[in-house]
Amino acid sequence: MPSGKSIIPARGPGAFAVRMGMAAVVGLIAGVGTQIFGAMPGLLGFALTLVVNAVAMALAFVICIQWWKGIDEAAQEAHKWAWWWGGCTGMAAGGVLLLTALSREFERIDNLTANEILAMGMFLMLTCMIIGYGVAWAAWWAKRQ
Amino acid sequence: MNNRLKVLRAERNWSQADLADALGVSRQTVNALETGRYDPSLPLAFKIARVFEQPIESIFSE
Repeated sequence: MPSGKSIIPARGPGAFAVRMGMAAVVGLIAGVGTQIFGAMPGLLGFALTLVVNAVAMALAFVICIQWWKGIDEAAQEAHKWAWWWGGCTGMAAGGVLLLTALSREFERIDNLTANEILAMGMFLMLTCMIIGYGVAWAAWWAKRQ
Repeated sequence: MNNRLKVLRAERNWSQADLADALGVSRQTVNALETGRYDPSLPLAFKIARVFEQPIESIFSE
Protein backbone atom coordinates (compact mmCIF):
# COMPACT_ATOMS: atom_id res chain seq x y z
CA MET A 1 0.00 0.00 0.00
CA PRO A 2 1.41 3.46 -0.89
CA SER A 3 2.56 5.42 2.12
CA GLY A 4 0.16 8.10 3.33
CA LYS A 5 -2.93 6.47 1.83
CA SER A 6 -5.74 5.98 4.34
CA ILE A 7 -7.22 2.52 4.80
CA ILE A 8 -10.59 4.19 5.47
CA PRO A 9 -12.65 4.56 2.26
CA ALA A 10 -13.10 8.22 1.27
CA ARG A 11 -16.58 7.89 -0.21
CA GLY A 12 -19.55 5.60 -0.63
CA PRO A 13 -21.63 3.58 1.83
CA GLY A 14 -18.46 2.00 3.27
CA ALA A 15 -17.03 5.40 4.17
CA PHE A 16 -20.28 6.40 5.85
CA ALA A 17 -20.53 3.12 7.78
CA VAL A 18 -16.92 3.30 8.99
CA ARG A 19 -17.33 6.89 10.16
CA MET A 20 -20.64 6.14 11.85
CA GLY A 21 -18.86 3.30 13.65
CA MET A 22 -16.00 5.62 14.70
CA ALA A 23 -18.50 8.20 15.95
CA ALA A 24 -20.36 5.49 17.87
CA VAL A 25 -17.13 4.41 19.58
CA VAL A 26 -16.39 8.04 20.50
CA GLY A 27 -19.94 8.39 21.84
CA LEU A 28 -19.54 5.20 23.85
CA ILE A 29 -16.27 6.43 25.37
CA ALA A 30 -17.93 9.76 26.21
CA GLY A 31 -20.86 7.93 27.83
CA VAL A 32 -18.59 5.72 29.93
CA GLY A 33 -16.43 8.74 30.83
CA THR A 34 -19.51 10.72 31.87
CA GLN A 35 -20.66 7.87 34.10
CA ILE A 36 -17.24 7.52 35.74
CA PHE A 37 -16.35 11.21 36.15
CA GLY A 38 -19.94 12.26 36.82
CA ALA A 39 -19.92 10.05 39.89
CA MET A 40 -16.90 11.91 41.29
CA PRO A 41 -17.90 14.57 43.80
CA GLY A 42 -16.98 18.24 43.59
CA LEU A 43 -15.51 20.48 40.96
CA LEU A 44 -12.98 17.92 39.73
CA GLY A 45 -15.72 15.49 38.66
CA PHE A 46 -17.62 18.28 36.93
CA ALA A 47 -14.48 19.52 35.16
CA LEU A 48 -13.45 16.03 34.00
CA THR A 49 -16.97 15.33 32.72
CA LEU A 50 -16.89 18.61 30.81
CA VAL A 51 -13.47 17.79 29.33
CA VAL A 52 -14.37 14.25 28.25
CA ASN A 53 -17.55 15.44 26.56
CA ALA A 54 -15.82 18.40 24.89
CA VAL A 55 -13.02 16.15 23.58
CA ALA A 56 -15.54 13.57 22.35
CA MET A 57 -17.56 16.24 20.57
CA ALA A 58 -14.40 17.64 18.95
CA LEU A 59 -13.45 14.14 17.76
CA ALA A 60 -16.94 13.63 16.39
CA PHE A 61 -16.56 16.90 14.47
CA VAL A 62 -13.22 15.76 13.02
CA ILE A 63 -14.82 12.48 11.88
CA CYS A 64 -17.75 14.41 10.39
CA ILE A 65 -15.48 16.87 8.55
CA GLN A 66 -13.44 13.98 7.07
CA TRP A 67 -16.62 12.34 5.83
CA TRP A 68 -17.96 15.67 4.50
CA LYS A 69 -14.81 16.24 2.44
CA GLY A 70 -15.18 12.78 0.90
CA ILE A 71 -18.67 13.24 -0.52
CA ASP A 72 -19.39 15.14 -3.73
CA GLU A 73 -21.19 18.46 -4.11
CA ALA A 74 -24.64 17.01 -4.85
CA ALA A 75 -24.45 14.81 -1.76
CA GLN A 76 -23.40 17.85 0.28
CA GLU A 77 -26.26 19.88 -1.17
CA ALA A 78 -28.73 17.11 -0.26
CA HIS A 79 -27.49 17.12 3.34
CA LYS A 80 -27.54 20.93 3.61
CA TRP A 81 -31.08 21.08 2.20
CA ALA A 82 -32.21 18.23 4.45
CA TRP A 83 -30.60 19.79 7.53
CA TRP A 84 -32.28 23.16 6.94
CA TRP A 85 -35.73 22.16 5.72
CA GLY A 86 -36.09 18.71 7.28
CA GLY A 87 -34.35 19.56 10.54
CA CYS A 88 -36.27 22.82 10.96
CA THR A 89 -39.60 21.19 10.11
CA GLY A 90 -38.86 18.41 12.59
CA MET A 91 -37.89 20.98 15.22
CA ALA A 92 -41.13 22.87 14.58
CA ALA A 93 -43.14 19.66 14.94
CA GLY A 94 -41.25 18.79 18.13
CA GLY A 95 -41.88 22.32 19.41
CA VAL A 96 -45.62 21.93 18.82
CA LEU A 97 -45.58 18.60 20.68
CA LEU A 98 -43.64 20.02 23.62
CA LEU A 99 -45.70 23.22 23.87
CA THR A 100 -48.90 21.19 23.72
CA ALA A 101 -47.56 18.87 26.38
CA LEU A 102 -46.64 21.85 28.59
CA SER A 103 -50.21 23.18 28.37
CA ARG A 104 -51.61 20.00 29.87
CA GLU A 105 -51.64 18.96 33.49
CA PHE A 106 -49.93 15.61 33.69
CA GLU A 107 -49.76 13.43 36.72
CA ARG A 108 -46.63 13.86 38.74
CA ILE A 109 -43.99 11.28 37.87
CA ASP A 110 -42.04 10.86 41.06
CA ASN A 111 -39.71 8.14 39.90
CA LEU A 112 -38.06 10.36 37.27
CA THR A 113 -35.24 12.75 38.12
CA ALA A 114 -34.99 16.25 36.64
CA ASN A 115 -32.01 15.01 34.58
CA GLU A 116 -34.11 12.24 33.07
CA ILE A 117 -36.99 14.60 32.23
CA LEU A 118 -34.52 17.04 30.62
CA ALA A 119 -32.95 14.17 28.65
CA MET A 120 -36.40 13.03 27.48
CA GLY A 121 -37.16 16.53 26.16
CA MET A 122 -33.83 16.64 24.33
CA PHE A 123 -34.36 13.16 22.94
CA LEU A 124 -37.87 14.01 21.71
CA MET A 125 -36.62 17.12 19.90
CA LEU A 126 -33.61 15.31 18.43
CA THR A 127 -35.80 12.42 17.24
CA CYS A 128 -38.21 14.82 15.50
CA MET A 129 -35.30 16.63 13.82
CA ILE A 130 -33.65 13.40 12.65
CA ILE A 131 -36.93 12.06 11.25
CA GLY A 132 -37.48 15.36 9.39
CA TYR A 133 -33.88 15.29 8.18
CA GLY A 134 -34.17 11.72 6.89
CA VAL A 135 -37.44 12.36 5.07
CA ALA A 136 -36.12 15.57 3.48
CA TRP A 137 -32.85 13.88 2.43
CA ALA A 138 -34.73 10.99 0.79
CA ALA A 139 -37.13 13.44 -0.91
CA TRP A 140 -34.22 15.49 -2.31
CA TRP A 141 -32.69 12.42 -3.98
CA ALA A 142 -36.03 10.95 -5.07
CA LYS A 143 -36.81 14.20 -6.90
CA ARG A 144 -33.54 13.93 -8.81
CA GLN A 145 -33.71 10.32 -9.99
CA MET B 1 -30.90 24.53 -16.95
CA ASN B 2 -30.56 22.08 -19.86
CA ASN B 3 -27.47 20.12 -20.74
CA ARG B 4 -26.10 17.64 -23.31
CA LEU B 5 -24.37 15.37 -20.83
CA LYS B 6 -26.32 12.26 -21.76
CA VAL B 7 -25.68 12.75 -25.50
CA LEU B 8 -21.98 13.49 -25.00
CA ARG B 9 -21.59 10.46 -22.75
CA ALA B 10 -23.41 8.21 -25.23
CA GLU B 11 -21.18 9.43 -28.08
CA ARG B 12 -18.19 8.15 -26.11
CA ASN B 13 -19.87 4.90 -25.03
CA TRP B 14 -19.31 5.80 -21.40
CA SER B 15 -21.49 4.51 -18.62
CA GLN B 16 -22.70 6.82 -15.88
CA ALA B 17 -20.16 5.16 -13.61
CA ASP B 18 -17.34 5.93 -16.10
CA LEU B 19 -18.31 9.59 -16.21
CA ALA B 20 -18.69 9.67 -12.42
CA ASP B 21 -15.13 8.33 -12.06
CA ALA B 22 -13.80 10.90 -14.52
CA LEU B 23 -15.51 13.73 -12.63
CA GLY B 24 -14.83 12.42 -9.14
CA VAL B 25 -18.52 12.33 -8.19
CA SER B 26 -21.04 9.58 -7.50
CA ARG B 27 -23.13 7.87 -10.18
CA GLN B 28 -26.24 9.29 -8.51
CA THR B 29 -24.85 12.77 -9.03
CA VAL B 30 -24.25 12.09 -12.74
CA ASN B 31 -27.82 10.86 -13.02
CA ALA B 32 -29.15 13.99 -11.30
CA LEU B 33 -27.05 16.15 -13.65
CA GLU B 34 -28.24 14.32 -16.77
CA THR B 35 -31.90 14.64 -15.85
CA GLY B 36 -31.35 18.39 -15.45
CA ARG B 37 -32.67 18.30 -11.89
CA TYR B 38 -29.36 19.31 -10.36
CA ASP B 39 -27.29 22.24 -11.64
CA PRO B 40 -23.56 21.78 -11.07
CA SER B 41 -21.35 24.31 -9.34
CA LEU B 42 -19.05 26.38 -11.54
CA PRO B 43 -15.96 24.27 -10.66
CA LEU B 44 -17.82 21.06 -11.55
CA ALA B 45 -19.13 22.62 -14.77
CA PHE B 46 -15.55 23.50 -15.76
CA LYS B 47 -14.46 19.95 -14.93
CA ILE B 48 -17.25 18.55 -17.13
CA ALA B 49 -16.11 20.84 -19.94
CA ARG B 50 -12.53 19.62 -19.56
CA VAL B 51 -13.58 15.95 -19.54
CA PHE B 52 -15.60 16.38 -22.76
CA GLU B 53 -13.05 18.84 -24.22
CA GLN B 54 -15.79 21.32 -25.09
CA PRO B 55 -16.63 24.84 -23.97
CA ILE B 56 -19.15 25.10 -21.14
CA GLU B 57 -21.68 26.97 -23.27
CA SER B 58 -21.83 24.09 -25.74
CA ILE B 59 -22.75 21.67 -22.94
CA PHE B 60 -25.10 23.78 -20.82
CA SER B 61 -27.88 26.10 -21.94
CA GLU B 62 -30.69 28.01 -20.25
